[in-house]
Amino acid sequence: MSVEMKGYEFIGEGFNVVTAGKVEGVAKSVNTPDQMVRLMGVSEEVKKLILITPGGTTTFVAPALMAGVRGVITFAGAPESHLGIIAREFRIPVIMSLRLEEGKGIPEGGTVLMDCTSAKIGRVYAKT
Amino acid sequence: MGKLEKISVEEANKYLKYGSLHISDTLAMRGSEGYNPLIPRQVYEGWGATLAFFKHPELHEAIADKIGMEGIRELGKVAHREIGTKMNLCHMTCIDWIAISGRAAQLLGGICDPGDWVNNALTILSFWKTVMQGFRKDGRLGGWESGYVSEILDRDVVEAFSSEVEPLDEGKITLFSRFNAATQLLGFLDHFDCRLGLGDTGPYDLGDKLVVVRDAYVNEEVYHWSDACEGLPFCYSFVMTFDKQRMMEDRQKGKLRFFSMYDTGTIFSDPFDHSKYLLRATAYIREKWDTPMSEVRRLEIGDLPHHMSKINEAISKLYRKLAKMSEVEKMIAGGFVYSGYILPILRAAGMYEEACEKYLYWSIPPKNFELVVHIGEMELPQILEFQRKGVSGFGHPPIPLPACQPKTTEKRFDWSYQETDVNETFNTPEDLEKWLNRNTQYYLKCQSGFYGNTVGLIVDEAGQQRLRYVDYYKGNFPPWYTPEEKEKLDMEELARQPARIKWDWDWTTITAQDFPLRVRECIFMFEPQNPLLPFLF
Repeated sequence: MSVEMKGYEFIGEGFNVVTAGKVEGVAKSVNTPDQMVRLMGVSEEVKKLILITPGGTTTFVAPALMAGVRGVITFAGAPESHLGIIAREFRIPVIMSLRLEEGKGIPEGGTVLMDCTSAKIGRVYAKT
Repeated sequence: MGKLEKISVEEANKYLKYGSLHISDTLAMRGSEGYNPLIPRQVYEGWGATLAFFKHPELHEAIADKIGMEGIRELGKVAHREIGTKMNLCHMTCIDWIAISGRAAQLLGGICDPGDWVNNALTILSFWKTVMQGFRKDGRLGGWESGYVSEILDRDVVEAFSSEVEPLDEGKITLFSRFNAATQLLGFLDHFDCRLGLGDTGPYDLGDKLVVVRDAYVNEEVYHWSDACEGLPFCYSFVMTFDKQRMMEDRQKGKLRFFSMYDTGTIFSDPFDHSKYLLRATAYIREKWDTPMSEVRRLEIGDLPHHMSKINEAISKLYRKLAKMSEVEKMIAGGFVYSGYILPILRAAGMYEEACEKYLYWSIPPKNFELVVHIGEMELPQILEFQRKGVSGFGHPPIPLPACQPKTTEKRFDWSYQETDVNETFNTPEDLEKWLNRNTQYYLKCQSGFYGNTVGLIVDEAGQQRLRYVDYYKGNFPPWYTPEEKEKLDMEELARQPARIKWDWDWTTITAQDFPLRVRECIFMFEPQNPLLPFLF
């Protein structure tokens, strides 16, 4: 299956948690609880964000899930995890254990697209 | 002499192996979520499990002394008539899992040997077995033995609750799903990212529908951080009915590979998303853990937004509170939450206050600090690897056994499933492997991707008879399949393949150097699985 998409650059793929179609948002890395607490003060902004977190744990991203974050990308975890369970109930797109293509990275503050159309594999693109 | 009737070391070994398989089948594929910057779960799990291993035996003994063996079985039956009780699948399973994981943490950390702390293991496993005799009605110790089904509530209770479910149109499904998710999220947060904050049972077969009952414990009063959840009840419960006919059809077509209740009290399906089968649902409130069932209140779906805003507020407050706690504070608190699966048992036995005052429930035994120091010296990748091993079936070697007596009765062990006289000499490991493949009638199917079995062999060794163990598998265990490999794995095909003995592993206590090997008896320890809902298995 081709991963090409016009106007976008393929960054990598991971496990798709929710078959939620394609969603686009602004990439925002969050690595500490303090960063998350700061986001809680701007909950309307959160709805536009795709959060990038190192781990695949549910409680760490709890406020973002409640605020209706547009999507979550993690570098660890599996769809059977707590985050997977909760995200499915919220219908929030989550791609877990993202493996980046060689030499690629997620552009902080840039627009990324999560392709969550497949039942198992989720793909991440950066807007070019 | 205490009133807790202790099992033998041989029987305890059976349950250590059982636990090792059970834990790994449930958790290995899920133990890869990485570090949680909010809650140091991997750190607290190790020492919390050790806390249980060292502390709970005296509590188990005290409970037995107060209420006796039959009283312990009666405790297990609380869950037959109640929703919103922590006397649930996850907590009862953890009596075994978490405590023996404490032993595993000590062993993996090199702090003790398999022959140490034997009485702790015997006490814990004896108590767990006794509770399970009351808790489960199928005579099994875990739902995976019953085809991943745990019908814990009595049928009339399930029928009564399922008669109150509301049909869900698109708007109500969204509202219900979000509320369900929010309560689960708060349950996790209030229980430090641990599954003890939640509990599912079922699926219950009510003819044309399957029912799943879910509890989310959002305000546990004994935890000081729960003041952030003030105004919320102890538990929200959900009763959900699913379209059995459609699920059966999809199962036959291969579109639904499984719909399974794991013994953490978690329903899993493949595909992951099973919301399309949801027909009707309703929610309930249990204000306090001891609120009588007659006072459990039903919520209309229309009431949910009001509760949703309170949950949102609690999540916000609790998150900020946890974010401010120090790592050490969270590690200690997490350890008490993790070992807190005993809390509802103490409450049900009327012994919580006594546990606090006489047995210093909220204190830490000095022995625990060895592991704390050990973990404290590890780097994060080592901690993650330590946890990965813990959830993958490592660290549960059998307790060493002395030589055994010659067989004098038709069945040597009352806990074994089947015993076969062998009286054969095997010249090579391959000969033994062939014999096992020829004579094994069943394997335990683990949905994580393997079929396994373990037997005890009575062998002649230096003029004595000894009980040795042999583990043999179809599939990978461990190392595990990667998720990609697992996706392609055909379990039906795997079932037809021959099993291989797993050498150089705790649970194969013979080596290639022991051949030629004179085997007198083969002890099949485990019963075959007996699915309650065969079409789901």
